Amino acid sequence: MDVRPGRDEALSRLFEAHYADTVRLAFYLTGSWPVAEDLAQEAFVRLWRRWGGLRDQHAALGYLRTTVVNLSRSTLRRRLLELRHQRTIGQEGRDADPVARLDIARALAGLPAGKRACVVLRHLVDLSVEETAAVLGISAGSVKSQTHKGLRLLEAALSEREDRSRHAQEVRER
Amino acid sequence: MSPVKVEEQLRALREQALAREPAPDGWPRLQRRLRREPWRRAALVAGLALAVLVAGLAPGLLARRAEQSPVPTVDEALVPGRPMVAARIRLDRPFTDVDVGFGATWVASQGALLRIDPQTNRVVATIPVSVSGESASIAFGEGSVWVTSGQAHGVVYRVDPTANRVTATIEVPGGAFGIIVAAGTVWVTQYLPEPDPGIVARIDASTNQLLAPVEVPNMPGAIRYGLDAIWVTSRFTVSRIDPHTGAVTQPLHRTGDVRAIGGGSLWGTYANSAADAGAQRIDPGTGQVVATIRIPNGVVIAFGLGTLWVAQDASSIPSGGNAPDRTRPGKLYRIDPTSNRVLGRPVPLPGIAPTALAVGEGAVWVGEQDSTTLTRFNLVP
Repeated sequence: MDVRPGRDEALSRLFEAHYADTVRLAFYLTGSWPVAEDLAQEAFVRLWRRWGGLRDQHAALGYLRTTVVNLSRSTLRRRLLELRHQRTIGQEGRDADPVARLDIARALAGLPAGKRACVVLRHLVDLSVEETAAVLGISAGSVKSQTHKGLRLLEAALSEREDRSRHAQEVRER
Repeated sequence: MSPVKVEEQLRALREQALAREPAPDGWPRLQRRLRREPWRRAALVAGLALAVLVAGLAPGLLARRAEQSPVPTVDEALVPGRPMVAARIRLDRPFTDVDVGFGATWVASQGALLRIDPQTNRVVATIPVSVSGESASIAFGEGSVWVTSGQAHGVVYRVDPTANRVTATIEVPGGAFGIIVAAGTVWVTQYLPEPDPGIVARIDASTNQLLAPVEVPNMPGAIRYGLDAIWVTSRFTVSRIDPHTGAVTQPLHRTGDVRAIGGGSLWGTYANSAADAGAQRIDPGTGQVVATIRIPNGVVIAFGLGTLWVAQDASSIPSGGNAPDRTRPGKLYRIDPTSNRVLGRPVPLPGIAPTALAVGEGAVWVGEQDSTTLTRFNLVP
């Protein structure tokens, strides 16, 4: 195996310290815990491949976050997500993930990818504007603007969801 | 909903996620993956060499026919020719759906429905509608173009293609995503807070009024019309709806999805992994998959010009050492429905992740994720 000195040991430390947070980041972005674990695994594999090109452990964490954001946008993720839903629900007969069923999780899933990433990194991962800009490869100004717009869209979506719940109830009662 | 409440809900989501831990086999699972890495790299190099060797001789080998059924009747003559990029049309906004009708190419984009003249490949009309750049859809029928808002704030816009203006704005509480027109009715898939049962809203095209909705098992996604039925893909089943009565007549439990109809068959996509993905041909009578065409890295599909068209995602190739991974573009495949085999040599796609695919006006139109460019392929001898 092509093992550079210290790579496996450092990866092990990083995994211990950041794997759970990486899964959570992927979960916020995809709305599915099983898919989030798949994405986090893939991100660590890619980090392992790129290890020699990284500056330090801090850069590794940034690389992990960027990789997860990029992976969450891919069309393959959507298909794996659909497939995973089919398998999970097929086995259990219903959507059994109470966190993914939160209104806020669903509203997040409905945001455009860029705005979703900004809201997640700023408000759920607690990164600064500058750290978020570095992960997404955009300017600090864009982070502020996208985050603001994302939050406004979330407000609107949650308000609509309240209205729609009432309407759905009325439809079913009819 | 106030900004404070949104932040409260975000905090609640974070607290619930923090209380949850990944599966305990994460590290052993990663180690198993890493142990395979050297073999994977060697296999990639060998695979690339083999691909170069056989590419000129047998491009059809790139797609594998796993199962074969009796060939059904093909209902559209195959138009011969090899696709070549004829135009890269730059739009001024991101878009989600592309479709061809009324002698034009229509693009559902953020904030507007765009009309492109296929003679000039230029945008000739920008019709303002409040639709999202990610989930809006287009349909044609009853003399109109119909476009959904692609949002939980459900709206269907009816557009007169002779005047390029909105003639009706129809509120569809519960969201408006996928859309088709069949039997004088507009059918719209919804996304409700409670996913089961799923709701397909209906609009009477003669009055623009909502009719009683149709219930399907679980949350509906893609909706297609053909072979005298409406096919609605939900999370774990495909429902068949009679367009005349609205009756859900025959769920297809063994089918992943239905995304195209042609050659007397239904066509769907599948993805067990990046490598094991592609298109499937489905018998509309039994719901059985009768042919599997493996095209790695995920695909979007459409039927037209007598064949199935498959647009493939790009793939990542490790460069070795410390160099960044390289990206290999996906390809546009043409599948002959008489043989379920790749027809001719697949052609590279200029973009990274195709998300919209339409066939019409003698051309194939491909849209890309996170892009504002629409690529047109013409068939050349």
